[in-house]
Amino acid sequence: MSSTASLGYGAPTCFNNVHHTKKQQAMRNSFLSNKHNSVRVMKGWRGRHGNTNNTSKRVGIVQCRGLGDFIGGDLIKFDLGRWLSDVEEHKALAIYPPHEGGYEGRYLSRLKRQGYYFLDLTARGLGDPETTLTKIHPVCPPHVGKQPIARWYFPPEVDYRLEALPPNAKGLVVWIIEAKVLSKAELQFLALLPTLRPNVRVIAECGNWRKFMWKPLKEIAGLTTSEEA
Amino acid sequence: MSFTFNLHVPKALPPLPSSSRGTTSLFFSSKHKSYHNNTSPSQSLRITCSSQKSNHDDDGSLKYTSLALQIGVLLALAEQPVLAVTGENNRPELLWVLTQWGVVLFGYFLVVPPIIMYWLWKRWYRRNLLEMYLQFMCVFIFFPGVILWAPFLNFRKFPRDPSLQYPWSVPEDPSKIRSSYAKYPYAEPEDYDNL
Repeated sequence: MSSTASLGYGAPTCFNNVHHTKKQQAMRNSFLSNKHNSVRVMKGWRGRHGNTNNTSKRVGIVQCRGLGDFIGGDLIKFDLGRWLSDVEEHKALAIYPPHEGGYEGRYLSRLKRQGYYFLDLTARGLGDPETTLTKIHPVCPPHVGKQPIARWYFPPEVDYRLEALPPNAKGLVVWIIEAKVLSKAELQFLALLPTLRPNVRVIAECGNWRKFMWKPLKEIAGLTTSEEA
Repeated sequence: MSFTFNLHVPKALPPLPSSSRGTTSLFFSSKHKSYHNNTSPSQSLRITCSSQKSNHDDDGSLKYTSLALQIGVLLALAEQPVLAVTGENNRPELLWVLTQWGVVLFGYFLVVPPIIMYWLWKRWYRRNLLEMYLQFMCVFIFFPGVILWAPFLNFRKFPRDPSLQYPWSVPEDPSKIRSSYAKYPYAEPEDYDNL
């Protein structure tokens, strides 16, 4: 997968060169912009700037964007087969859909056709993932004035739904949105959840990108390095 | 004699509506019939008829020649459009017409829309009022082509840090990452360069 991604972006040597030049350009750009901001603040007006500043800034603005970054819209992504095989293989994936959303529906529909059932959760209200998903956990509902603070106990989210699955179901997909707010430890637990419950798959939306990308959650949570070590 | 009779027949019929000529013709015919048996009055009548007939002959020949000329002119005029209709020198060739239309449609649907979309992406934060007007005009004119190309191109924003190639990339030196960007109207066009 990473090899295919690198191949998509060209040869390794060319990649290194591009990386180096981009890094230099970024540093130069930040330095020039900082200086520019200070000068502007001192003057207090947005007048015309010196030619030297403009010239140097123009020189530092060169961008190296390949044509492949612009090709590849929303209807010519024939990657659903790879998506299904990756879900089967890695069992826990971190996905990065575009900002405007809507593209994860194509991939969700394919999993639904495969026979999976879904548990949609938001990471911001998850609490402790281990307790919420695999243990009996308390929930304190908000009160409305002079009432005693109640404390309700709920069954495990994952185990309860696993028991309620129909016999011919293929598994349960825990789809977690806004997973960018989770810490590395929480992501590690989510990556290990399929090993605790064999019928469970985890899909975590860990951020946004300009096109739909995914990666094994173990690599995102840093478990691969620890396993290797 | 036969000639005289032929001249009589077309003349007798048209002059009937006119009173003067009609009376004269009736007069002549009545005289001719009444004095058919007598030799001397018949001879005198014959002489007069022959003289009058000769005059009529001249008038008829003149009329016929004028009619013939007119008919000839009409025929000559009529033949010219017939020749133009059947001619093949001015007909445009079908393949050439199809080629021209193909070139125009190729440019309208496949060549110009990507250029317009690239122009929009490149100048989105640097355009002034006139350039914005031109951009909107081009999008309006080439809208079918732009809609055709939209699913196949991706002009979404790039990350601000060019070194981050993937969403899971980690910057090498987090302290060098710039995190305070001015917003409009305080931002400079250079602040949007990496988007």
